[in-house]
Amino acid sequence: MPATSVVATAAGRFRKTPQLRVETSQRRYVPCVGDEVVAVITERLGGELYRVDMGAAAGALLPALAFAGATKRNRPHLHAGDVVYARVVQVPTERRQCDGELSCTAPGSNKSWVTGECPFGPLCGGTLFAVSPTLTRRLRQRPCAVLEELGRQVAFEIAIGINGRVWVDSDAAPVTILVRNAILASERMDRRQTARLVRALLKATAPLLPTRTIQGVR
Amino acid sequence: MRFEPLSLNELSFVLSSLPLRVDGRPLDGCRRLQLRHVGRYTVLAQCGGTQVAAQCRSAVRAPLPDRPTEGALRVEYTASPVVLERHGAVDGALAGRLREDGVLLESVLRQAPCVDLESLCIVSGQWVYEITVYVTLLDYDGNALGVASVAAAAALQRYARPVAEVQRGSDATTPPIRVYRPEERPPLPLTTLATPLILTAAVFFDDHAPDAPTLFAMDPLYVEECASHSRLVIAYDVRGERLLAVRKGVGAHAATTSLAALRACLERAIEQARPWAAALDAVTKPPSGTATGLPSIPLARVSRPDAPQRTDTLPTRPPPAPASIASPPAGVDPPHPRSPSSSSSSVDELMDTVQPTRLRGSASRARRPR
Repeated sequence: MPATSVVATAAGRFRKTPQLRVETSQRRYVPCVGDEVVAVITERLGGELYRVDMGAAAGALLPALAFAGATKRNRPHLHAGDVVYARVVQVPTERRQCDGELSCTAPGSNKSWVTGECPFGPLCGGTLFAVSPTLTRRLRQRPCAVLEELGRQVAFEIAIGINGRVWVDSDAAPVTILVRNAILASERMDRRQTARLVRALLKATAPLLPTRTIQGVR
Repeated sequence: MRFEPLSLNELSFVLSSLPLRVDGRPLDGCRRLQLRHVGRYTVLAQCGGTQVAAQCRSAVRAPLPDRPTEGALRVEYTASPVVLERHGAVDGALAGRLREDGVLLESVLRQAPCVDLESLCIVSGQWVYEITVYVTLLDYDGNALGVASVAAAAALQRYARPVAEVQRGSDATTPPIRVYRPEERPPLPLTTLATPLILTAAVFFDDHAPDAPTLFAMDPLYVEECASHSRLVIAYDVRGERLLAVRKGVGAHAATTSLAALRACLERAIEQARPWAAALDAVTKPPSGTATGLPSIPLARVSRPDAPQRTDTLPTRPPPAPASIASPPAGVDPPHPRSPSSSSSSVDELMDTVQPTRLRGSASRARRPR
């Protein structure tokens, strides 16, 4: 019998393109192979493995050598509380009960973790905060209104994990705080409101920002 | 829910960005507080990511032998299993800190004094009311104690206890008591004498630079609490404008706080607490006709014969009025200009006659929340 009506069974924002769906905001992240996540190291197991937390139901493992261009002599020494940007290579399924595994290697590129040019690897400095799944999706899409607006005015470095964690760093603490609060406040705003938000935040924090970041304003 | 660990990046960012704060607030700034009624006797307080629910219950029992004319006020402060699991694994001291905070909250509410315990006496030496405030931490993002104190004070201000009457004509040494249901006799509000508020500040100082000033961050976030070196707790009575208690962390570090810095912090904290005090005042409006438009979430009616205080309807039958109803005794504040409605006028009369020495003035009612 053909369906005559569409009924929503979850609470959230209703979207029509590219297909009918409701964007819910559950708080739990479910890892899939290939996801790029921002993970926090919780434990160092022997010399070979790190146990990490990425906000999923279970923790995952990160081999100590799974960094781009890492050898036994030349690898990062991480401790509990350090942050890494990694990709998921293994996920437990019903068929195969195993620990989830992450990796910071970037296959197909010969950049080393030492120089920091490889996107995966340890993230030093900056701050971390959690965002809802809908905001994560918006931030990872191109174009992203809030990131573009911010990028025109200030210089910062950002890593957005699909697990809902965002890492931000910049030269000055006021800039990092500005970026963090602009992202969190832009969750329910459209383009115009986001532009106004960023302008207002910049105006309010102008005395605290280092002057050289304002020189490039268009 | 599993625990989510705090990264070193977050903690060191909090320290390195001082005197700026992670969410852009000034050092003295408190987050916006939202107070809501849920059902008839529960208050839900929400401040950022911290949510606390407070509910009052009353029971009739024998008083303590050394205080025969005083009722009892108890506070039970617990955290929901979600909060314990989420933060308990990381912060192993959370359960212990909750116990300490519960003891502090109870002693602040008792000694403010928030409720006049002598007004809870039914028969001296034999029957008194015992009011228990159940405070539950539902979600935790810093400053649980502050939000809990607001929720508990609001719940006490809103609570109305059932009427109890001694049954005459009995030969027993302890005369039996009959507690009336709200439908039979309207419940009476408690005599609240003070509105205590607990303000928390995270203390940051630099061991290596003893000349650097000690920084106090009011209403700290969870990351700020974890990164801080110590905690300053201030209990303040908003209505009487009295400082009730100050608690500093123990240890050699806390001793480096100078008295001048502490005094300045106290004054700034009390100034910054005014929006919270206004929100507390606004919540004491009667449930019918809330002029401030505070949302009210009615609970489904639960019928239990032995729980006289569970009801949603405001009883309309006024008690027998004594002769002083028309002219209140001299020296008493006039009744507050509440939103007029037929049932609340009888409640006003009721309250003026039953508690002619109420100390609440209309000046505190004039404040509006943001």
